[in-house]
Amino acid sequence: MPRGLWTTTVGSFPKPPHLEKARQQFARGEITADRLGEMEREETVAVIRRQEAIGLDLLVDGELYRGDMTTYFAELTPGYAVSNPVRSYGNRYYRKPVAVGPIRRTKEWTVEWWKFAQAQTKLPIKGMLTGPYTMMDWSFNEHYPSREAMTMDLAAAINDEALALQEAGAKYIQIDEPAISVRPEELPLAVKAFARATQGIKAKTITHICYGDFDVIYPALLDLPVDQIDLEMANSRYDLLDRFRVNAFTKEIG
Amino acid sequence: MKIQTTLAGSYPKLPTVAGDVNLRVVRNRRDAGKATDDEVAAAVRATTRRMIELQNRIGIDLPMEGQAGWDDAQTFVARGLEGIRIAGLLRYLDTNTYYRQPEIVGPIRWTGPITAGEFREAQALSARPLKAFLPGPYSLYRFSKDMRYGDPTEGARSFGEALGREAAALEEAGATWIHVEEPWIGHARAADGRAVRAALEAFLAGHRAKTMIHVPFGSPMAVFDSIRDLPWTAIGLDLVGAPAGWEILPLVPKGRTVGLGLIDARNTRLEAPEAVAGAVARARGLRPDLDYHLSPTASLEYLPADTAEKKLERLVASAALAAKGGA
Repeated sequence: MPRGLWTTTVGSFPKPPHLEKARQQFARGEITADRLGEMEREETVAVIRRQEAIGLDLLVDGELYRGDMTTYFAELTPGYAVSNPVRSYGNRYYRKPVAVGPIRRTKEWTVEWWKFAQAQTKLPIKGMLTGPYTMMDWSFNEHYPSREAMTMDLAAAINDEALALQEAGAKYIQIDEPAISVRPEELPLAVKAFARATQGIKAKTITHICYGDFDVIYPALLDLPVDQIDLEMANSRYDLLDRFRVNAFTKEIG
Repeated sequence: MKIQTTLAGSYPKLPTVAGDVNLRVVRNRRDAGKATDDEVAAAVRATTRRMIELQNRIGIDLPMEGQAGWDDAQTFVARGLEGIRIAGLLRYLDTNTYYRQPEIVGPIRWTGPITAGEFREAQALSARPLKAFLPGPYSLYRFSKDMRYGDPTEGARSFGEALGREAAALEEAGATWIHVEEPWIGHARAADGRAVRAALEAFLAGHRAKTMIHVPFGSPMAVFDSIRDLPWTAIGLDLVGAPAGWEILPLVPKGRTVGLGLIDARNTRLEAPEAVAGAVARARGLRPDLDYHLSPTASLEYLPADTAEKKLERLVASAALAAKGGA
């Protein structure tokens, strides 16, 4: 394993057309959950083989079984419902989680998928979760009296899943917080929730942040209790690097 | 006393009734090579018609066309201006929606109508006068990457002048009200007042149409002194996302209108008309000398189409209750 500059990917891989079609068929009741799961496992293996062939060091399962990074968790979690489609940009839509009651993790979200993926390779597979602040910010809320109350319930639920991933053997757990860069006044809440979500975690922790205004949260972002921050920089032509000359980046950078 | 109901920007494009034209499906088919640009244009027109008919049926006093053909609130207009190049996706403030960032690469110039033709077509579909939509000049500057001016006041003023020409084209097309979306004014600090004023002063010069400067997601308090005396007709407030907006009411000059954004455009929880009517009564109690509009806090596109429709119904029910003096 190389030291210093590892290669990895952020998370999800594109679903091949036949898997997209199968997901639509499943939604219409035309194929069974078993058949869809079989196809998702086949494609997960293919994604792992592809990463090995390319020579990546730290792999992902590709999230081929997830619709998107919030709704997948909401569908498995009591207290959450899922809305009809909402537009994100142009002709892109997603179904948004709706908090309708207390949010509790009553069963594993990703552990079985992580175990399956890890069994396919000798290289490490990252556990991949969405962070509590982002889950809150990207949900409608019909239940909680405050954003903080909802975020902290989510943090407790995510912590349960992170501990389960660690128990299963995950050495790297990525908890993405792309929404963290938009409300600087709520950064302390995001930090507090992230600390709760990673309580008791000895595995290396990573978070991914993207598409935001870093001017308003940097360097305070470095308060996040995480080992590595993976930043989207290409879209802004790497101008983040100039900020690091002024305020040194004190985490591992991804 | 009747309070005018209106929208505060674009409207969800998906149908709520099975069998209605689904613009998303038609665009997907076009992208797959199975539909033509003409078919997409027809679907945009059908979607616009549906949005306007819905507002007419529910009883919105001042409907809007809904921006069926727009990808976001900026790009459609920005790409029509000289000196602008459209670049990559960025998140739209603290919403989980995105826009393509305009880059200012040369002097910003208006070279011809961008939205006026579309507005004229939409107006022909409506029994009631439509309120036209434009991105606000200050926000458009803040959403853009300035590779030309290097001075926010100059850049914002240039957008103000260019969008002012577009507003004049909308007036020529028959617009009597223009909604000007200025989310960045709600995020501005006092030091930004000069640029905000420059943008709006240039934009508002010499217009006949009434203008609603709508500030979703934040309160304009920090810069309100800088724009208080400008010739806008109405200031639109997001009183759910930024309750501090109530502090603006005592400062609004006599004879102006205040847009009360009291229907939350960013959450599916439905408002009780009694509570909304109560808030209207509070505003009237504070400033009985002002006129009021009642609206969602922002574009209803942050909601699923079925919820947006219910929100419009609550909006009209709230206005009816407010007219009776109930709360």
